[in-house]
Amino acid sequence: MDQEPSAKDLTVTNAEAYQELSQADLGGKANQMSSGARTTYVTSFLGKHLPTNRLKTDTDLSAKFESVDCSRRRKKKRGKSKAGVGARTKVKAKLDWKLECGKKTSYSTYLPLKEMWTKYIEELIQFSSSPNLNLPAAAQKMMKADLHGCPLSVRKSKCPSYIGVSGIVIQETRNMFVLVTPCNEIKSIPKANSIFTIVLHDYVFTIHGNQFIVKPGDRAAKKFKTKPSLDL
Amino acid sequence: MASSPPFILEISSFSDEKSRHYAKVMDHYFNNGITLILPEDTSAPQSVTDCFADQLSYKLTQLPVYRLLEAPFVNGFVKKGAVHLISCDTKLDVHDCAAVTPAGCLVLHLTKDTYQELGLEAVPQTLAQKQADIYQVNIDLKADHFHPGKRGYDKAMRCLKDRLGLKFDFLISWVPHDSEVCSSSVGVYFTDLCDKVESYELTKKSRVLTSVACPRIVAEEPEGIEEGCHFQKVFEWMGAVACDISLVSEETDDDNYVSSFSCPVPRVNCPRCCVYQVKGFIPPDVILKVLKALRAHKSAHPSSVPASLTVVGFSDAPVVQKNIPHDFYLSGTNVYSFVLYPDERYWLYTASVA
Repeated sequence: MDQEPSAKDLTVTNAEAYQELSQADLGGKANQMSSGARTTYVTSFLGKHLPTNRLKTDTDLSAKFESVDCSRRRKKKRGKSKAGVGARTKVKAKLDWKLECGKKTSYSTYLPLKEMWTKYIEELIQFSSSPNLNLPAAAQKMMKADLHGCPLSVRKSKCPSYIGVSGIVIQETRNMFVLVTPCNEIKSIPKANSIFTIVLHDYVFTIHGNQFIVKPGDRAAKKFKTKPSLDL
Repeated sequence: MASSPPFILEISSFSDEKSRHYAKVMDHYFNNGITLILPEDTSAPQSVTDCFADQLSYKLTQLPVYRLLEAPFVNGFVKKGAVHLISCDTKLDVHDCAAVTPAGCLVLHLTKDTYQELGLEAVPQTLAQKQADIYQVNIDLKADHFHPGKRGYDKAMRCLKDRLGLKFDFLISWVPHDSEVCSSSVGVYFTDLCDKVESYELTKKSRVLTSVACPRIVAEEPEGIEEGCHFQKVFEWMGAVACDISLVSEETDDDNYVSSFSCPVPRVNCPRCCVYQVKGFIPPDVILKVLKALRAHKSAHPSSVPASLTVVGFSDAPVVQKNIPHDFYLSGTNVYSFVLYPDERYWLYTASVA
C-alpha cells in the first residue's frame, strides 16, 4: 500500500484526526524513513486512528480470497451444434411431435383428408364439365394445387427402395413428401431423383420431383419453366 | 468399348489331378457353339456325334420373369439338377438380359431405365457397367429364406409381376438330378405358362478340307521354336479355319484380294482335315462328354497334328463364368479353346476374366 493515497483517503474520512498533525511534519518524516520503517509507522498510525472493526490482522484469513481458476477461461456451453441438425432431423422431430399429438397414426385417420382433397381438386380442375379435359391447363392448376391429402405413389427413383411406395401426403416440405402408407407407416420420400404419379379419374399426373423442389407455399406463385431433359 | 483382355495359355494334362479343365468347362454355363478341328479325319467320330443325341433344349417365347420365382419351378427344377436358362435375341449393351445359372442364381442385367423403375437392389457395379449405365440384380433362388411369405420373396415377386411385367424369350435346358427323369419335363412345365414352347434344335455342320497346311506344334514349346509355331499364331489359324477363311498358300503364290492370311511356319501338310461345328444351346455337361470322347478318339488315332475344340459362349450372356459379369469385350471373354495331344496333354487358351 502506498502512503500517499492512503493519507489522502484518511484526509477525507478522518479529517478530525488530521487536525493534530502538521502537513510539513508528516511529509518530512515519511520522506526520511526507509521502506521497512515506513510500513511499521503506517501500521501504528492506522492502529491509532482507525476504528477497531476496520483493523485486520494478517492471521485472519476469513476475508482473504484468491481465484484458483484462470479467470479468462470460460465454460463451453454444451448444446447442439447447428451443423449437426439437418433439415431431415428437424422435420422428423417436428413430425414426431405432431404425430404424438394424434396418438396413433393410422391410414384410416387420413382417409377423410383424402376425400376432402379429391373434392378440392375436382372443383379446381373440373373433371365433369367437359368430356375432353384441357390437359395443359389442368397440369398448370395441378402444379399450383395444395397436395396435402393427395394419394401419391413413387414410380421411378434412383434409389430402388423408394420405388413403389404409395400413400397419402400428410406433409410437404421443400425437399420432401411425407406419406402415410396403407400399412400405417410414415415414409419420407425426397423429391429429388424421383418421379411421382397421381391417378385421378382415368388421368395420370406425373410429377418430376427434380423440378418440384420448391416450398409448398411458394409453389403457387412460382412460374414453372419447361425443361428439356427429364432424366433422373 | 474396352480394350481386349490379356490371354492365358495353360499347359497341363488330363491325367493330372490338379487339371482345371473340368472346372473351366463346368463354370462356363452358357455355350452357343463348338468347333472341332480334327486333322487326318474325314468325319467326326461316332462317339462325338452321339453326345448331342439326347440333348433337349427349348425355346420359350415371351415368358414373364416372375414365373421363374414360382415355387413349383424352384423346387422342381432349380433345386434338383441344373437349370441353364438364358434370354435370347437380345443385345447385351442396349437391352435387358436375364439368366438362371445352374447354381440357382437369377441374374438380371438391366439398363438404367428399367432398373430405376423395377425397385430391386443391384449388386455393386463394375467399372465397365458404370460406364455403360448397366445394373446387375442377383436373386439367389436356392436360398433358404427365399420362399413365399417372406419379405424378400414377396417384394421380388411384386416388382417383377405387377410393376413392369418383364418378359423375355428364353432358351432353357435342364440336366436332371436323376437319370430316370427325362429332361423334357421342363418343356412340358412351361407349356401353359408362356406363349409358345418349341424345341430348340442344334445345327450341325461338317466340312472336309483336303490338302491343307497345318502349323506344326510342339507341346512343350508354346513360345515358338524352329520346329513349332507360337501359340498365338496357332489359335489365330484355328479361328481362320473355323470361319472358313480362304488361306493363302505360299507355294502357289496366290495373290488373294480378300485375305492375305496364311498358315504360320513351320507347317505340315495334312491330306484331310475335318471341321465339325455345332451351334445351339449346349449345356456344359455335353461339352464334357465331347471332350471325353475326343480324348479317347485321339489316343486311339494318334496323328502329328493335335485336334482342337473351341467353345464359344453367347454374346448376350450376362455372366461368363460363375457370377462374373460379362463386360462385352471385342475379342470376347467367353471363349475357350482346347488343343488335345495324343498323350493326354492339352493346351487351354482363354481370355482372362477378373
